[in-house]
Amino acid sequence: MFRLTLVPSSPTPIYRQIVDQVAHAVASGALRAGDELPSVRAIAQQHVVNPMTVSKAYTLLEQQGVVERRRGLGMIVRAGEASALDERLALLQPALDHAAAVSRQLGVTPKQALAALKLTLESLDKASSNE
Amino acid sequence: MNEQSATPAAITVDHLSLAYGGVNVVNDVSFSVAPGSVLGIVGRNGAGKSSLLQCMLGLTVPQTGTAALLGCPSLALTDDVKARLGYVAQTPELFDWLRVREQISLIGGLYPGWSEARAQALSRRFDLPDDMRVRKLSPGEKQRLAIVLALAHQPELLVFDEPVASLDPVGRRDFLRSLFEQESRGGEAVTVVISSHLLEDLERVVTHLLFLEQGRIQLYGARDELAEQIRVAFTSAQLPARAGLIHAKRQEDGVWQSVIDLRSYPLDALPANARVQALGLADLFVALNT
Repeated sequence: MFRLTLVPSSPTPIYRQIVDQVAHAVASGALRAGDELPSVRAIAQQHVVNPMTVSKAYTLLEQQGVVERRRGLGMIVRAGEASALDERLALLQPALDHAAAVSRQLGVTPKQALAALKLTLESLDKASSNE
Repeated sequence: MNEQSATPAAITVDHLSLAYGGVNVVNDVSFSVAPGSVLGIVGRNGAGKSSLLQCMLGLTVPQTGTAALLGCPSLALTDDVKARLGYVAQTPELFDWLRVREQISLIGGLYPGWSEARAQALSRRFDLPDDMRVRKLSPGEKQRLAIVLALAHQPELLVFDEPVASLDPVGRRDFLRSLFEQESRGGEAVTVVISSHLLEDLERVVTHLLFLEQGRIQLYGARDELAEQIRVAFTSAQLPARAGLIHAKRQEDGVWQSVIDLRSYPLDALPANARVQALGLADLFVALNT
């Protein structure tokens, strides 16, 4: 069963924690198309957080195409292509965070880091076209 | 407040200053709060939180500046506006000789549209001993009684000065939950202001945060925006003063710790060897106050 783990003291805002955890659960298959998310009220009561924060997260998830609002049912996980890119980007994010942190520690500027990432992607493309 | 809204602000504070004996306890403070917001006012002891709240409520007359609640000047609150306010003072004023039940009915009699049933339900929810005399209540019970009295008439604007200081963790959670079960009598969005240094409670519920230091606003904004835009940077040399540099302090190991706002201080304006961290509310509070 899907359960959120919210850490209010984390530097990551609560709405962002909800968005990330739902997106990851969908990407990993813990939440499947047609599954219903807990209601805003239920999450707010259980985790003692502001219902507006939960609503904000749900609206973002809806905009990203991860879930859809169904009358009388609440938030339902969507199937299909629309959520695929967001899921994949969400999974990429930790690697990006790590690369960003290391770039910073090494004194590499954002411009230089982006150029390096671009080169790396291009060299991957070249390698696969030579195959 | 950053967002522009068509509805008038629930609270407006304009260049408010209050001094006692030549010491500014509130120093040129201006902000406004949109209806439906939950504002946390944080700062160290003596930062001016209570004084600011009292000026805001019209209980203390400021030297300069003005405040308005629900569109009405704080120093001339009408009975109508007063009936739409709920306030819990740091030391609640209660009638010691009354029983809990009597105190609740007495206060209820002062409000139009008071629901005795609702008040009793709140009282049970906060585990108040109905028949006990107020003077025999523990500090925590007195605080819970004051909270029940402030919530029961379904106000549109709630102001709490250190509401949870003497509540245990369970009581504090009950209090926080009760904030979101509130519906104002007229159906308007309920606006809440809480001053507290119990950050682990505030960070669950606030939509906005105001950091107060020596009577001045150090930082004010939407909580999520602050979390995403405020960073602490560690550098070997002191950062030159510029827009977006909020606070800087040389630590004991010689490293400079600076609180910066990414909206006006982009990361690439930092020296290349700077180490940058996102902060939870407690760490941000410490970084701003050391």
